[in-house]
Amino acid sequence: MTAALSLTPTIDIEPGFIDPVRDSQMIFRAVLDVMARPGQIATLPALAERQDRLAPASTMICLALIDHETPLWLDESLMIPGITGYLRFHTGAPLASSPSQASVAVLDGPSTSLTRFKTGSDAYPENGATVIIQVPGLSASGPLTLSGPGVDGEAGFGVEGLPDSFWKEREAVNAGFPRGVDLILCAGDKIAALPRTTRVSLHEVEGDQ
Amino acid sequence: MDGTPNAATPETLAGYNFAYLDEQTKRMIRRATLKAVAIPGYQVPFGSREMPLPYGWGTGGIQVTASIIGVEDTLKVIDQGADDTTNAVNIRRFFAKTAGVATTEKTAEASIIQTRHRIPEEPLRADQIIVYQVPQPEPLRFIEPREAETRKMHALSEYGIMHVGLYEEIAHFGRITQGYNYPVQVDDRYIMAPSPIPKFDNPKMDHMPALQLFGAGREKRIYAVPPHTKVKSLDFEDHPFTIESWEQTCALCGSEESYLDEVITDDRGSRLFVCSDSDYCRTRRDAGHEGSGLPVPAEPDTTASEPAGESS
Amino acid sequence: MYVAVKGGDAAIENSQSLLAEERRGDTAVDELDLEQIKQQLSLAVDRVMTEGSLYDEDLAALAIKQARGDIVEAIFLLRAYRTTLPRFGASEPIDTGDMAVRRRISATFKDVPGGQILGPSFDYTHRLLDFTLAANGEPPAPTPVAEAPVDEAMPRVTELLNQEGLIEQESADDDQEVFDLTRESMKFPADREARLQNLARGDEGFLLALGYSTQRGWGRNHPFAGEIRMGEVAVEFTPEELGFPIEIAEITVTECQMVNQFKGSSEVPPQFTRGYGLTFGHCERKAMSMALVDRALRAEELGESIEAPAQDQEFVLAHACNVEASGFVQHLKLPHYVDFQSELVTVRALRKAIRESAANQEDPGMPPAAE
Repeated sequence: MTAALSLTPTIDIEPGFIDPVRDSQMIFRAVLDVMARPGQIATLPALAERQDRLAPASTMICLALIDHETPLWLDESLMIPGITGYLRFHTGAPLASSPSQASVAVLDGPSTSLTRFKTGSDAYPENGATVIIQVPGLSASGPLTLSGPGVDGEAGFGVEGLPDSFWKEREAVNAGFPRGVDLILCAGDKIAALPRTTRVSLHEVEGDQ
Repeated sequence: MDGTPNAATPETLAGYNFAYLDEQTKRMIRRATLKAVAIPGYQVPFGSREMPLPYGWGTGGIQVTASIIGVEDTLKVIDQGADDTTNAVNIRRFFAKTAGVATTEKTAEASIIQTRHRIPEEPLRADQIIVYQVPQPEPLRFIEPREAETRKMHALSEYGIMHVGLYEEIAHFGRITQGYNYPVQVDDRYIMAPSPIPKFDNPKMDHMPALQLFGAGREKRIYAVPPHTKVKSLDFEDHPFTIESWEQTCALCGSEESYLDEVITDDRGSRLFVCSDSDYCRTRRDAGHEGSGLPVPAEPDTTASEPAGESS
Repeated sequence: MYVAVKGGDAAIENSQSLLAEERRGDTAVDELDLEQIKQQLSLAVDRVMTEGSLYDEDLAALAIKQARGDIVEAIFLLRAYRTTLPRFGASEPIDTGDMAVRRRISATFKDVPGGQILGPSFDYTHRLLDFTLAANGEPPAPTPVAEAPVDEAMPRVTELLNQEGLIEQESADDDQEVFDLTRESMKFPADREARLQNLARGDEGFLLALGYSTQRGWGRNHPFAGEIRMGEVAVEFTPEELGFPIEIAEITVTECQMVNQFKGSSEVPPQFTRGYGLTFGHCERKAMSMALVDRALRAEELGESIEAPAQDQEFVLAHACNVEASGFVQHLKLPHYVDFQSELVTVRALRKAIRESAANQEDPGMPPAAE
């Protein structure tokens, strides 16, 4: 098996899930829950550790949900051997050469324009990308108001680190529903999701104009 | 590694992964399920696998359940509203064997409810997921058999054919005769097959607090309705949607509100009306509610096929 | 008091216990062993492997035994088992041109390089029941060995036509990702690679009937059996860490290349076209039927009008799988009384409406009855 040995990574790779069957299911269920309830914030159990700049939540979501069938885009700040080696080893996901090739992406902050990702077609809208964005903080109240499927009426929501222009861009990307991009926001071990159907409105702060 | 039965999971069928499916298949189904939730009512194609139960017997629901279920879940399986019908028992046995999860017959105790043809009478909660078994996910299929065509109709929201079809029924029968699998529109966008539940159950889907997942194994589609989402049964202003009703009440628990099954009790056509939801009925009886226990005689039929002289 | 048709564990277990007894039959008769099935019911094994989409003679034999000889049930057992197998990757394409041929015939030329090799075939048997077999007949006399071994080179007949440009070219795009019927659901219109995968798993009886229908004018495509060959081919796999292919198995396959007429069009001069069939083991009827249906499904691509069921890809491909078909037909055995109740309510209401409208016509003075 010398040929196989030569492929052994030259860097140390941190362990992934201890119990992949059980841990993947737990993480998936948490993601399913927040995807079904936009704006709801969940805290993920600590089943895998932060990998350098890859937050614990994004690390665990990648371990649970991506594989060789999901080309992955990482933004420039995450394209470091410690992260790419870890994800390649544990998930087998190929790295996409451009955002438009990716089915899943991880961004550290709003680094990459949402307009660069796949939105699917009217006939096959599920081909729209899932974009995971790491942000400094999430809160259940804040300057944003959410509505749409999965939201009981309206819900308040706050995200740190995303400028107002981000929300305008998101609205534009999802304007051609059913085409669109689905977002999972990660802050440390916390997650929330904004599928393409969620309408986000910004509160006008008084005296702002 | 990945996919190997692990000591931390409960004791299950030797040689098979937790909940039967391998981890790669589960990931594929999980990703399809997330997209289904993100695009309510849209049928996401997925690489449905052959299961050890036949296509048409709940393989779609089983694959969805197998992909979402965890050791902490409590599973309820119903067929025709009842926990003790053979197919429900068999599917529950399958998960008890392959996933070792707790099962229940009580709607209130279940975290996942897999169903064929009914929605429980007891309102579902936000911490529950209902998984529907779907034989034909395409609501337009019986009007347009071609997938290439129906896909275009969904893509462009061109649903005229469906409204024409329903209106033709009204022209012919004076009403929409579709009693089950009555088409709905989700969030004012996709027309969706609710699976062959009686239309009696359709209103329960509207703004349901629980997540609703739909699995069609043979047709290889998964779709979903997120919680608190508008689900409207198709109708017309002059022919509003109505649900089934009975003059009878449940002979066992006396319920006036539940969906009733009709059981023939003798060769003269006497019938007993009882709740189709066995847990609902049992819970009511346990709480002291009681029905008449009596069958209803067959109604004499005096419609056209009878000899003219006997017509009243 | 009310007793519905209730199942429960006990009923299911008893049913399965009865099934096991029926499967075994008279215990005074020797139990079948898998080796006997493999050796003596080998064409059943081949069909189960082909439509079960899994090359494993032992598992196919087990499935046949467990299914009591019900081939469609055995195919289902094998497919369900197949679901649980991990995927290592895709093999290199097999090269049937490099087959160790045991049978090879062409109906288009009297002789071809490499020769016609009849091999083991029912073709020229007289279908007379052989009562010596019933009497546990003696082992057959050994077949005489040919004076010369078969030719090393056994070029495909279609390649011979190719040299004159008389038949359409076929080339694979090696860089393109190949559709995988196991991992993806069919999309319509389906490409030929997806169609062929679907047909390879498709029910032999269904394809036989469809192929036959094209011969009777329902989408006629003037077929000739260009070549049918059966024998052993190597399966090669390239492990990522090696970077070059290694042989991992040798399997038996049957291949059929139909040569069909084509009138040509303004862009393409008249030339022959192809229909292709391939099966595991020796499933000649299936391979030929598949080739006929493959050609019929190319109607659109070749600019032919689509008029017959065999040319209609949604009709053919959506209904070819007997695991799907058998499950869905038989699911009608499951309880449907909730839906039936809904129909009862509707039919009674419709009849009541007719009754009332008739009564109103007889006595126009009466107001309509309240609903």
